[in-house]
Order: sequence, then structure tokens, then C-alpha cells
Amino acid sequence: MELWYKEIGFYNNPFSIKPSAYTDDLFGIDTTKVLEDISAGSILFIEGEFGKGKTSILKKIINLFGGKKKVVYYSCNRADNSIHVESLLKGGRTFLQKLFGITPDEMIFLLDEVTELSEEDSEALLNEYQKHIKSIVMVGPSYKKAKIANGLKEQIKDKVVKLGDLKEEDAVELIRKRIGETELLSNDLIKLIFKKSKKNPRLLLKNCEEVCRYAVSHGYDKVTEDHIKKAL
Amino acid sequence: MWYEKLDLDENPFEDAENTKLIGYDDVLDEAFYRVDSGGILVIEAKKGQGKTAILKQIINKYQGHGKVAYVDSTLVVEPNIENVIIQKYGIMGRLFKKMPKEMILLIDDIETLSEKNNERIKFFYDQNYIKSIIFTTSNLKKIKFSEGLKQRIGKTIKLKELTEGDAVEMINARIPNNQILTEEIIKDVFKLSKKNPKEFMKNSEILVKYAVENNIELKKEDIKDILSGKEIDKEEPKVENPSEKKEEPKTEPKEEKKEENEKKKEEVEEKKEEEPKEEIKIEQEEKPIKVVYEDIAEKYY
Repeated sequence: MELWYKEIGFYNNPFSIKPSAYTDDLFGIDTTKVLEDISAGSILFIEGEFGKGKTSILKKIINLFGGKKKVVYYSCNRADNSIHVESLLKGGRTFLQKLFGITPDEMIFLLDEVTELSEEDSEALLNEYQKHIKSIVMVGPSYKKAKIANGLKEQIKDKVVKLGDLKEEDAVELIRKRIGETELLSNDLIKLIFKKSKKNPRLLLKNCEEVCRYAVSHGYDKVTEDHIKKAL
Repeated sequence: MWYEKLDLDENPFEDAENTKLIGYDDVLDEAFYRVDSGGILVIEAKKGQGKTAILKQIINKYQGHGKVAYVDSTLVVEPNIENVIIQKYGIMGRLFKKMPKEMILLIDDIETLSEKNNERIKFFYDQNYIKSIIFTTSNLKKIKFSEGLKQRIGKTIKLKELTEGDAVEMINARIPNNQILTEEIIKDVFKLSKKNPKEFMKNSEILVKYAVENNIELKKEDIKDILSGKEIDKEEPKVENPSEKKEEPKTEPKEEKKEENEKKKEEVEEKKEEEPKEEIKIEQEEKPIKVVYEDIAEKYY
């Protein structure tokens, strides 16, 4: 059986939920401001529930700020105990964008899945901040619930960016960017699917994929309301 | 070998590379789709329903260039996923700790997933070092997927029970011109095997082998007896697989007893045969898994 998206001319799954796939579609956030803040050397916290674009925006930052040599990415979920900021900066860990031996200045530190940061880690980060670390971007599900030392919070101040809910127009734009102007899925139907997607970008993508796959595999050129009912 | 009498080169009840999976066409379609489109699939099924067999079909289809990493969770309780995919990437991975791209990760029979592995998998998947993932498990609720990973799962499938019709098709697919197991007998055996495919295959093999080796026609009434090791006519039932004879010293005295008084032997044999049967089960479960793992290893190291 031919893959549904190949039948409409795509080599890869246009609705891929991987953050690395398509990074030019971030909604509900002023990415320009975020990037400016980073360039200016701030500490920010980006909060958002699952599927809203946290990892996507980190990917964008990594891409824009020069990849390996400038950005350190660390996911807090993997922490055994503490973060070992210094060794991260020197590239001690295997997992990360490695820094090549020396400790350059103006590093951008990305912390993913931040729910709790120990005093020790917060101190280490603050220590390196404005020395080797130019900017720190923390990403997590909730700023309020995150246990971060006061010292850090003071530096963050009001630079808490919330990944907003997707709006209907955004939804249409997001899907159109993915599949272009193909007649397979009309804008009205995108809105219908959107209603079933709890305003969550990832869920919207998943649902569109299911619907399109259903329609094409049953031999249809266009998605209909019936398909949506049956597929979702 | 007994199956040679049926004009077969190999034991029809052992899974070969091109064994067609009956009754799971839609599951396979879904699995192939998830692999192609870069998704994550979870297949839930009880033991012996065919989880590993499904993954084998995927390995068959996508193997090559170190692309598929298969992890048998029963062999290694909590492998470090990073090591798994770096190892699979071969020399590049091990020498330079270079990350592979677009690997297909198959984790078979998973029971738990540590926080670290949750995160590693999510990270690798996001970065596209891993293109797609298929998990199989017998108990979905027990696995602790992190919220992030859970949200990335494309679909969860529960394997449906096979039907009697599937059972008949399975036998006919493996034994061309099958005349040994009638449809009625197949359905009975299927029920006796509690509709479990693995059990069903094992029991079918016992019956067919018995019929072939003793040159008799199987009758419905005799099935239970044959499967439990009781003899039904003058010749002795041989319950064990040929490979077992090498490992089980207990089988040798049985062969010598062929010509002796049968009634006395029945009770003795039943007791002895209970033990080897359990061992047969374990061995048969282990073999298919190990073979796959080793095959891949041979090809890519």
C-alpha cells in the first residue's frame, strides 16, 4: 500500500510531530522577542504544556545561534542528581551539543523539562552567568510550579513567556504550511478538526494525519466530514 | 525428520523468515505505516499472541545498513538505549560516539521504562536519530511512560484474538495439502490451546508429528490423550522435540521400553513427561528471540 502522503506528492510525513521536522511554524509565541532577549543576555523561562512547542522553540534557538559551538542543551529529566554546570560547559557529558575543549564565552544554556532545580545547580548557573554563559533559557510545563532558587527567579523577573493556546486562524495557517494548497483538506475541515484538538498543536497535527490517511487509503481525493467522524 | 515425510524441508511449525502472519494484516499495516511515517506505536498483547512475530516481520522488511535496532526486554532488563543505538550504528558509533540517524527502534516485551530511558528515547526521537519506535508489551498500564513520551505515541493497538478461521488458515499456510489435521480437529486444538497462537502451534506440531511418525490417522477423541502424553495405541507417543532428546537423559530409557508391557508404563511415563514438557515451553520461547538478536548481530558487526 502506498503511503498516503506520497500519493499527494510528499516524500516525508507532512504532519510529523517531531520538533526537528519543520521549525518555521511556531504559534502563540513572539519568537522574535525571545531571540532578542537571548541576544541581549537574559535568563528566561518558557512555559507550556505538552505539545505546544517547547522543544520546537529550543530547536529553533539551537539552529539560529550557531548550533554546537554556541549552545548547550540539557534535559533535566535525565539528571541523576545535579547538573554539573561546569562540566557541561566544558563538554563533559556525552549527550549534548559538545563544546570543543575550551570554555568559550557567550554560551547559551538551554534547560529542558525544568520542574525543579536544586540550590546547588541554581548557584552554579548564576556563577557562570555573565561569565561564560551569556543567556539561559529554561523550558518547563509551569513556572509557578517549578522549584527554582530565588536568586535565579530574581534574574528572570518577568521574562516568563507562556506558549499560548492555538487560535483557529493559526491552526489553518499551521496546516497549510505543512501541506500547501492541496485540495485534500479544506480550510473549513481544518477548523473542524481543530475543534477536536483541544487547541493543542501536536494533537491537531496528529488528528490531521489520521484523517488524511483515512481518506486517502479509502481511495478519496478529498477529506469529508464523514471521514473526520470515522477517523477520530 | 518427521516433516520430510510431508515433503517439507523445514519444520513447518517453526517461524521462518517468510512465514506469513495470519490474522494480523491490519496490525502489520499500521506498524509499517508508523515506521515509514516516523511515528511511535505500542502493541499490547498477551504472551504467545504474536508480538515478537510481528516485530520479526518488521525486521525483515526494514533491515539493512544497521537501520533496525531490536531490543528484547526479557534478555536485558533495562538496557541503556543510547548504547543500543550507538552499538547498532557500528564502528562509527563506537569509535566516535557519533549519533546515528533515522534508526528504527523495536523494543519487545517491555515491562518498565526508567526515567532516564524515557528521556533518552524522547530526545533521540525528537532529534531524529531514531526515526520511529515500536513497543510491544503484555501490560500497558505497568509501563511508566513519561508524559512527554506518552504524548508522542501515535497509536496503541491491542491485538485481537485470533478466530477459528484464522487457526485453520494458519495450519493450511504451513502445511500445503494438509490432510492430517481436519478442520474440526484444528478448531478443537485451538480451543484446547485457549486460543493462544503459540500454544496452538506447539500442540499442532505435537499432533502432526505424532501422526506422521506413527503413520496413523488422527481422530478427534484421541487428541487430548496425545497432547497429554498418554498412548493411544501400541506404539509409544513421543512428545518431545527431536532437539530435546539430546538434552534430556530421561528419554533414553523410554525408547528401550517400547517392547515392554504398556499398561505399567503409562503411569511412569506421564510423570516423567510432565517435567520435560515445561522445559520444552521455555526453550521454545527463548529460541525465536535469540535467533533474531543474533542474526542482526552477525550481519552488522
